[in-house]
Amino acid sequence: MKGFAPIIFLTGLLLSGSGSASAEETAQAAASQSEKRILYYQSPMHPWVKSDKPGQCTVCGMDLAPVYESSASGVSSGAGSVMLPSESRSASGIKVMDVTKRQLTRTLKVHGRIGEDENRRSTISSPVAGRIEALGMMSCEGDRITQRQPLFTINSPVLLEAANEYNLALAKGGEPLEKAKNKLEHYGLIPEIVAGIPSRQKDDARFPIVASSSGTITKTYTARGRYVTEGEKLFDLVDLTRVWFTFFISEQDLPLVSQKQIVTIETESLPGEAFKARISFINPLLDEMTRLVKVRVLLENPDLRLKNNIYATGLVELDAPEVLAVPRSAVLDSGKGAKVFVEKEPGVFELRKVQLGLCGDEDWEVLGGLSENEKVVTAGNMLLDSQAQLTAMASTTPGGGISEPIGNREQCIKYLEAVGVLVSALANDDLSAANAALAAMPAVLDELTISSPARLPANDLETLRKAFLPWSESIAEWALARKKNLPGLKVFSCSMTKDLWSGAPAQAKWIQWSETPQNPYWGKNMSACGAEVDP
Amino acid sequence: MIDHIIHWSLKNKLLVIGASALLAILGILALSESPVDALPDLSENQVIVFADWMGRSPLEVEQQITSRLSLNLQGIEGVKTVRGSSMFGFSLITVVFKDDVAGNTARQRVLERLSLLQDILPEGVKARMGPNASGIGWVYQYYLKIDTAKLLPGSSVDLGQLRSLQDHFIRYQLSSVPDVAEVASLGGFVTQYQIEVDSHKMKALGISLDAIFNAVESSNLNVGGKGIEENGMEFIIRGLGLLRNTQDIEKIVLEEREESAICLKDVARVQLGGDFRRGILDVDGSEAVGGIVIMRSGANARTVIDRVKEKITQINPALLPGVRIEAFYDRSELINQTIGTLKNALLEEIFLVILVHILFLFHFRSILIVVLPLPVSVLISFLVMRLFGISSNIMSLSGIAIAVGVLVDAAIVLSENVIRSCEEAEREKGGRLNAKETLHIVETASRQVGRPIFFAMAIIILAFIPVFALTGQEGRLFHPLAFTKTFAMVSSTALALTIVPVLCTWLVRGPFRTENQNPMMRFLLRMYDPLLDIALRRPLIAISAACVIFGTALALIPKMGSEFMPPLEEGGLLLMPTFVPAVAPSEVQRVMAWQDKVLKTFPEVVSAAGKLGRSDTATDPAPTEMIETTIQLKPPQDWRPGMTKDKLVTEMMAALNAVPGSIPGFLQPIQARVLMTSTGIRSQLGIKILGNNLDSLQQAALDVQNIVQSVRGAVGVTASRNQGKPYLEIQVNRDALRLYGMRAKDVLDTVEAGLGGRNITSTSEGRNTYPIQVRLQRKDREDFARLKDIPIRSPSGKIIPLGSLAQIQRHEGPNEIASQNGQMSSYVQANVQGRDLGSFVEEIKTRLQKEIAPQLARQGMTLEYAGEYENQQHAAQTLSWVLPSVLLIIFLLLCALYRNAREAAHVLLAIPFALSGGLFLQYALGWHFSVAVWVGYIALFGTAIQTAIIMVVYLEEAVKKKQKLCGEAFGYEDLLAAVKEGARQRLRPKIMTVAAIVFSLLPIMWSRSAGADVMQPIATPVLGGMLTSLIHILLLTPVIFLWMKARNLKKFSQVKA
Repeated sequence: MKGFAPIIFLTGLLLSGSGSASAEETAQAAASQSEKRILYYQSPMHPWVKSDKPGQCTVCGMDLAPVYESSASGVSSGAGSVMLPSESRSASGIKVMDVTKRQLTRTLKVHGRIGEDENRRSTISSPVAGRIEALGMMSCEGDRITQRQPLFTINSPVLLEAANEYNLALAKGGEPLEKAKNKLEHYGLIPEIVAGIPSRQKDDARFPIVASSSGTITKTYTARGRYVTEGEKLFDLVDLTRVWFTFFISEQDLPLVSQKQIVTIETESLPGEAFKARISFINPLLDEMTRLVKVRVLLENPDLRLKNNIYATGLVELDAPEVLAVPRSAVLDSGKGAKVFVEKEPGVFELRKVQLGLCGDEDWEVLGGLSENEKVVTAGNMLLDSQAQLTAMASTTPGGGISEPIGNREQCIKYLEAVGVLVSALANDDLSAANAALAAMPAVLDELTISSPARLPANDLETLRKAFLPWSESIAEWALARKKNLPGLKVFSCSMTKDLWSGAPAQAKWIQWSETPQNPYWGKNMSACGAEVDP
Repeated sequence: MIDHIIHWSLKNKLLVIGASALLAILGILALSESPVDALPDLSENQVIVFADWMGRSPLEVEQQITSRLSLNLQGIEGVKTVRGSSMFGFSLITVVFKDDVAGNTARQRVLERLSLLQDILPEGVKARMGPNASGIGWVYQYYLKIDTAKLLPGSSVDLGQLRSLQDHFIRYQLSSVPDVAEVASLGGFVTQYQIEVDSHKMKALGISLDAIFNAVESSNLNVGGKGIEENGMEFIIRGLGLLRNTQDIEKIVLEEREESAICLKDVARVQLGGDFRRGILDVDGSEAVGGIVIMRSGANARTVIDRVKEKITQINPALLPGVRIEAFYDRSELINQTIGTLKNALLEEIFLVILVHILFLFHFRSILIVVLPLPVSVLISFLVMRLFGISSNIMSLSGIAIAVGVLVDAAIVLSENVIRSCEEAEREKGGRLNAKETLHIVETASRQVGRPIFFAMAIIILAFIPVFALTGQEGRLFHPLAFTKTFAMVSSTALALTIVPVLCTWLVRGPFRTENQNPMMRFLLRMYDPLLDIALRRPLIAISAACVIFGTALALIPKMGSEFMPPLEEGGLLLMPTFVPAVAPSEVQRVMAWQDKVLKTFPEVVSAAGKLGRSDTATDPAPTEMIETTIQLKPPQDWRPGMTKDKLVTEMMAALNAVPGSIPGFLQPIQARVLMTSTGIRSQLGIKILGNNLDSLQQAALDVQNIVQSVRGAVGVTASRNQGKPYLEIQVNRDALRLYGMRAKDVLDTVEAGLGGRNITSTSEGRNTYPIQVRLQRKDREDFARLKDIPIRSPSGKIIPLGSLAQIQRHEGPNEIASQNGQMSSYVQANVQGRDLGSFVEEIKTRLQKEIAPQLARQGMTLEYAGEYENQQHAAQTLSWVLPSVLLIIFLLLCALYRNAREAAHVLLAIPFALSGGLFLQYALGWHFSVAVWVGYIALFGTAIQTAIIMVVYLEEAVKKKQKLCGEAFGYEDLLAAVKEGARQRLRPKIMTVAAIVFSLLPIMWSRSAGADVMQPIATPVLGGMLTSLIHILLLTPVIFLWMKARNLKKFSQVKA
């Protein structure tokens, strides 16, 4: 063997020089380091592609990423629930809140205008015919006047005549005096002025007239030097110490709004200040043109800070029934029905379908699916949903060598054990035991969705085996896909079944619970023929 | 013929030397000019056509853009298939051309067709052609780094400013760099003027959205009033009315009213804000603005990056103070590293080859004979690469690297023979040879091995032909390698027959030392003799031992896995987690920022730059639920002790697992781009279902999946899924519309412009232009429960809430719609295991045809079959005639060489023996079967045959010599002695050639730097195979040869008797 020395030398050199094998080793080391068990591998881009073994996604060719059992984002086998360790809570931004009975505040936002209280409008008209000699200081639009405030001076022969009459009657006294005094007052002179008449110049026809009511002048109709007739309108006044907030609501909001509801009013001119008042009037008539209904709120405005005609927004507090409610941020609804995540126990979140009722400003009424004091996730729930969907996608894909969860475990194992008994009976060529095993077979589970062969039981072994083969094949496939969840179960296959009967497949699988192969097809002839199938 | 060449070369020495020098110089020039990149461009021959349609759902985009364009683009000459993809607001069509259509021609044809197609698209939509680049051309990515310390005191920089800096300055500067196809902006906000109207104020004032649109549009213009003259002077008249700032916009008059006009500010708030976006960038946990430099296809990546970096140094000072451009992905490092690795490997290889020569020949001058032609042949292959337009990349350079050992073979064999002949001649003559004698001996010795050398090299070249038969991605990957290897082989063969003899005449001078004087050879011969004796005396043992070894090797095959291609170690990572489509970008962004922050805490990480959604380029079709985080890593020597990349990935994955909702997938940057570029079916079988109804397509896909599932051998069966994106559908109610006398547009304008916003016009401020957008204010549009309250004004002035005119409902719909040749498609993919692919596909076809096709056809759906199986079948078909013909040609060549079919056949026996060594080493190093490994085996076979040829030539020669000596009395013992003599005497050239090949591959095997991981699987089979084939040719070939000759002898003697 001396001649091999250089070769061995070269090989040694080569192995010491290169270490390509190290990649695999480290991968294994890394895998063993993380003690978490890998459930399956899933494609990051196409989550419905998953496999038991590491490999590449069939769609995009990306390496499949391992999904760990009870890892940080580990997903428990039950569909639609997600488990999170406590440390990842803040990273995921998960917040929870109790489901409680609370007042479902609902507000209606309305836009309208502050306007004058139409009940507080007044007009100042000329009490007497004459020429306006002078207007008082406060007689322009927007001026605020109070009652008995001098408003203007009128040059009125009629008034002068009446004054003269008064002067004459003054001497006489009695009823005529009273009459003359009344006449002057009728013409708009206040008693103080009337009292001063005797001291006036006799031919002075200019008399001061005071405001007959207080308010803000909204319109002035006159000017100095203008001749006015008796009763002619001079000023429009309005009292703004109480104003109306008028807004419009649409037909659909009509049922929500009723009198006495409180409206909080805000204006841009008084930022940060809110005025509260009640709805005083809802117009029973709908405006045909705008399709809107007018609603009115009375607002006290003692210091006149609310200006006429300014825009204001109001929040109508609608009736707030006390209901079981969740925050609106807890509800996920992509069109397939509303769902929420409930924290069942710390770190375990369960997806729950809920029926919702009224929608409030912040909360949503829950009609069904949740009970009081359960904790719902109000933030980060979309991430949980994404996780749940990813898991669901992985578990709903049939086949593909996937380890799938088993729902009704106990029954499944019972069934599979019964199949195992049948297999060993067939392996021993024991027809009666096989038929007995068949008879004792538990009912087929929905989950298995594998129908028993119709031709069983049979009178001879070959018929039995023929019927057994496709059935066994599908059970084996089903079990292979869930092998990780079925410890102790073995799937074997024999690649010599071709000669069993004409048309037999070249390969056939079966399940069994023992270590050594028990070939149910060949029976005693070749009972040990078979190799375990790796999923 | 070959004799003539040698003769001619020796006659025209100077011409030969001059020509070689000229070629070498041209090669150096070509080397400096040839484009350099890390990997060959693996994308298909494709032209991208895309169209933006802001805010439209995938369904609208599919119906009105993608399908129309696809149908019309199909007919273009040379088009293989048209794949469409309709996303939210974006249509992407990939026109795949046949491989033989030149890139420019394809673009020209698409452009011509596009110019005719503008009319069929909705108003305002423009179909454009993507850049002459692919995602693989993303060579440099950067972000704008803010250095708060350097900011002007009191100032701050926001994302909007950075984005406009990027959009209006940096982008244009970098685009001007030659061979940059496009610079795509990424992240931040596109600044725009936002007019956020308050629907309730509009309602109160009786103003409609239309009025606002009109008002804004007609308030923004500059005009020219031609010219006017005054006193012989000419003035140009400008009418100025462009909007310049928010105040200007606020003052836009909407309607004239009694007292004063109503201005925009009475019903709206005007502000500068960010546009709706489908792409966000985050670096190390904070939002950033960046860009992607995309290189033109086929350009020189290294030069482009160098120029870009140069440009960046120029413009960096011109940016805002405190802001500079910082790379978060720079491919040049990888390129330099891989090319550096290969260069090092080449240099080390050359060095080792020289060492082999010194060890075995002990003739220092003759080293030049081997060493001089080697770089010349490498340079010539660079020259030819340049002529063929093949870029220098890891694959093409690997071709040369794995060939180096073989390149010197011819020269070694020839020079060894010359030296030996000279040595013998000198011994015979008893003194030094003169020049004339040397020339004569050189010519004779060269002629002696010239023919076998030529045939051996021809066989190596021919044996590599199957690599050219690879198609698809494998083809694109390995053709450069096959080309360069072939170029190098051809040129080295040519040089061996021309320049090597010439050099021999000058450099082969005495004194010569015999083999026995060489300690190395003495040692080897001492070991070889007894072994050869045993083998020749006990041929059965030798042959059965060989069979056992071969059998053991074959038994290893099932234990090794297989993969497509071991990925190139890129020195960086790309994290690509994907959420379900329903997750909103803001939520994804939150997670992305967290992830980047976490990644940044790893001491191995330089930066983590996350991209969510799309950047502004047609080469980036990523959806918003997908994050692509480019992780720059420090060089491995700066890592924590004991840290490997796999460990790092595992740790990162564990850290990132804290946030649910996505599956973290780690890739490498180029790998990811290759992945995003290839849109075809990747599995062995893809069943495409084409139709016009998405829901039924989905159902059909699931049905097909169930059927395929039940077919024996089917694994990884998956149906595509296209649903899952939440939609809010606002469906107009026709009866309500009739009641109020309105048309759908009156309502839907509010949906489109009110909810989505409409860009009416744009300001121009210097070089920057900012769009002006009108939209309903946030509080009107963001509360789902209040959408129904949005007031809509009918043309007659009625105001009706949206809820009375339309049904608003949530609905789940497609996230992205895939189509092919204008028809929407869904697909089912499957791989096969434990069964022949052809019969599998046939069974599926028959079953689907029987069970589901008629039913699908009734619904207007058709089935199509695609996938790797086409390629594989095609490759199998090609190989089914290429392989036999190659073998036949090799066989014929061997026959021509030996003029004996049996001898030719026995040379082919070298193949299985070489195979076993390859398998052993492959198993020992843990490589899976991949295309790269197969290419290595193909390379091995040629080389194995080559060494066997040389051995047989020598044996033949020894036997002839002996026969001549013994004449008629030539018997079995003589034959045995002759064979032994031949094998023994020619140990040196054989070990030398094998050692040259082996040593030339060692640098590849021990290199740990970037690029070596791609070459190692190719080199492994060659290396292992050469070692066993050495045993084969040294021990088995003589045995078989002896056996054959003995049979001949027997026959001969029988005939005689």
